Amino acid sequence: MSAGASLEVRGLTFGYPAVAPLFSEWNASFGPGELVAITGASGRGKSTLLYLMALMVRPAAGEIRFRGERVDQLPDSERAHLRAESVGFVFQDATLDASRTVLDNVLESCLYRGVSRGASIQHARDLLSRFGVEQRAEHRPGQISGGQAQRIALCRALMNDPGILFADEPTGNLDRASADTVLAAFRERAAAGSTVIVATHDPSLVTECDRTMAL
Amino acid sequence: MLGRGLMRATLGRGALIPQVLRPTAPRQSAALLREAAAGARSQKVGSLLTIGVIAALCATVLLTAGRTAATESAVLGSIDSSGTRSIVVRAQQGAGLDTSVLARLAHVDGIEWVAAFGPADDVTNAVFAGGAKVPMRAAYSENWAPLGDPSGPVASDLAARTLGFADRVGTAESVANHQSVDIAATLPVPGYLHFLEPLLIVPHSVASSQPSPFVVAPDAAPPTALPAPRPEPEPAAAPVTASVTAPAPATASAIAEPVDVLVVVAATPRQVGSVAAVVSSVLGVTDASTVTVTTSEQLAQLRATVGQQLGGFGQGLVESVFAATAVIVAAILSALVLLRRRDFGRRRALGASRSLIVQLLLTQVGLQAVAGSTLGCVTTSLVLTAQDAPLPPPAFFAALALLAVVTALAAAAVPALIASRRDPLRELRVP
Repeated sequence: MSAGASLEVRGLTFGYPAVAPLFSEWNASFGPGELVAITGASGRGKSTLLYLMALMVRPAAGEIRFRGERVDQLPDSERAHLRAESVGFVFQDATLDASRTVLDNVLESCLYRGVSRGASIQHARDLLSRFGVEQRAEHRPGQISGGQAQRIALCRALMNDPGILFADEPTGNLDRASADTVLAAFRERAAAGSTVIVATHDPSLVTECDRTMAL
Repeated sequence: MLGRGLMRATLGRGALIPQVLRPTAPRQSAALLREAAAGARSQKVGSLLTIGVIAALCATVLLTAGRTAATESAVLGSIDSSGTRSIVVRAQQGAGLDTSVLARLAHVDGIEWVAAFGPADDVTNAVFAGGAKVPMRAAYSENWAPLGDPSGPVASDLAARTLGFADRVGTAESVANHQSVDIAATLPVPGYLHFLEPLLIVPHSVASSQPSPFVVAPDAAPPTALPAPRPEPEPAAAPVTASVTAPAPATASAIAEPVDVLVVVAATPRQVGSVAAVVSSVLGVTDASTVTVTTSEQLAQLRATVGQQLGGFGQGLVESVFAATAVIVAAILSALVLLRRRDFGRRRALGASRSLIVQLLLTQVGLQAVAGSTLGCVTTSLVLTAQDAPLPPPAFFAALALLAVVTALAAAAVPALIASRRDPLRELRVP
């Protein structure tokens, strides 16, 4: 295990049924404060790799360690708790709940972390303000643009002050200005000691990362 | 393997979250309830369907089995008012039955009410001579609530009309000694006293705190085997045997007054037989042939049969309605879970445990079921009231609402488990 790695993957193997394995004996190590880009052609498994490392799915073989502790074999309830407490995830298409307000979406993870919603509202509004979407707090996702939705998804991912932040094509739907805002947020997050892992095709984002891993 | 606490300590950047944000159980329950309510509101069609099905279940049961229950209650009430629980003792003049029997019966289990009535003294309306005669009786009891807690002589509606009291009140005069009695109120006559109509009584209270004469001394024989204490007219009754604790005299009078009718109401129809046996054993008369004990045991049996037959009616229908409701609710929820699979996938990805997803869905269904059963019960009872139909007892409503909620929760269990197993990778990954 690499000394000081916040996330380490060893011998990771995973594949979909009736298809050749996406990864076989894949190894990687991510340190705290690192901003890492994962690149590769479509279908190479960038998103799947993020889902695996974010403990949403179990690998067929291999190990995933958070700060040296093996976590891929934890019971479902503990993996869920880790996702809620320590992991942030920005989905490719934002994946907001269309039936709830923007503020409700940002506060969603409070329920899973067992944290008081009332005491978290100000934190949520601060995040929305920081990403320039505070005025959309009471709107529904259907009433906002794709770029705003992605920034709101980022707010949601940052609500728990995550130790590891995953982002799946976070700038794919954004204009340059919005993409720069998101990139700045990743930089800030990494500077605060979090590990930020981004799956992306965006060359401008790749060049801003500390390291690039190609699949 | 890491425990949750260790994980939080070693990994959790969330450990930086201020302590004020840490959870408490009631907060978590409130948050779950709020989230479930918000979920129900956001799926209006599904929620309205579920509420409608539960309301229809309650309405169907109330309009079938509920009506039967109400009818049963009314029929049994009618039978009860005819005296299913009453035991009537009639004593011949000089038989020796007197008010001391009330003290002996005061602490016998299974007796709801008891009263004794003295010999009849015919009275007429004092205003005019030669009017219709009505028997007036001294009445003795420790509990006058069933007769409206009279404060003085009272006449039943029939007695007042027979005497010719225009406003149900007036003055009656004894035929024998011409003494006047002012009747100031109307006496409500319960079904088990109808045989005494027309009824005009002069109430006398009897002490209720007397120790039972049948507190048997350690060396005494069982109470039913003992002869009843036979109090002397003057002075107050004294202990008769060493093995029986004697009653203190009645408050109305230290003298045991003669009575010729004793009415005992058993607590339940089933107790009529056993209570009648105890009553017979404590009458305190020397010659058993001078008293007649009439019970309503046959009526009680009829009551039980009627109750059984009416209670069984519609049971199959009710079971079918509940089963159909469970299937419909399960189908609705299964469809909703399918429609919301991305929603559950997102929740799982963001850290919701499987058990939390199950709790969330069950709470949501529970809220819908409570709303549905309330709607169904209130609406149907309004309809029944408007139709002037009898309403089932409150316990029926409570049991129905509870059963409806439990049925909905049971039906929601499988869809909730399916929802909790949505795979974020399958539901959320963009191909």
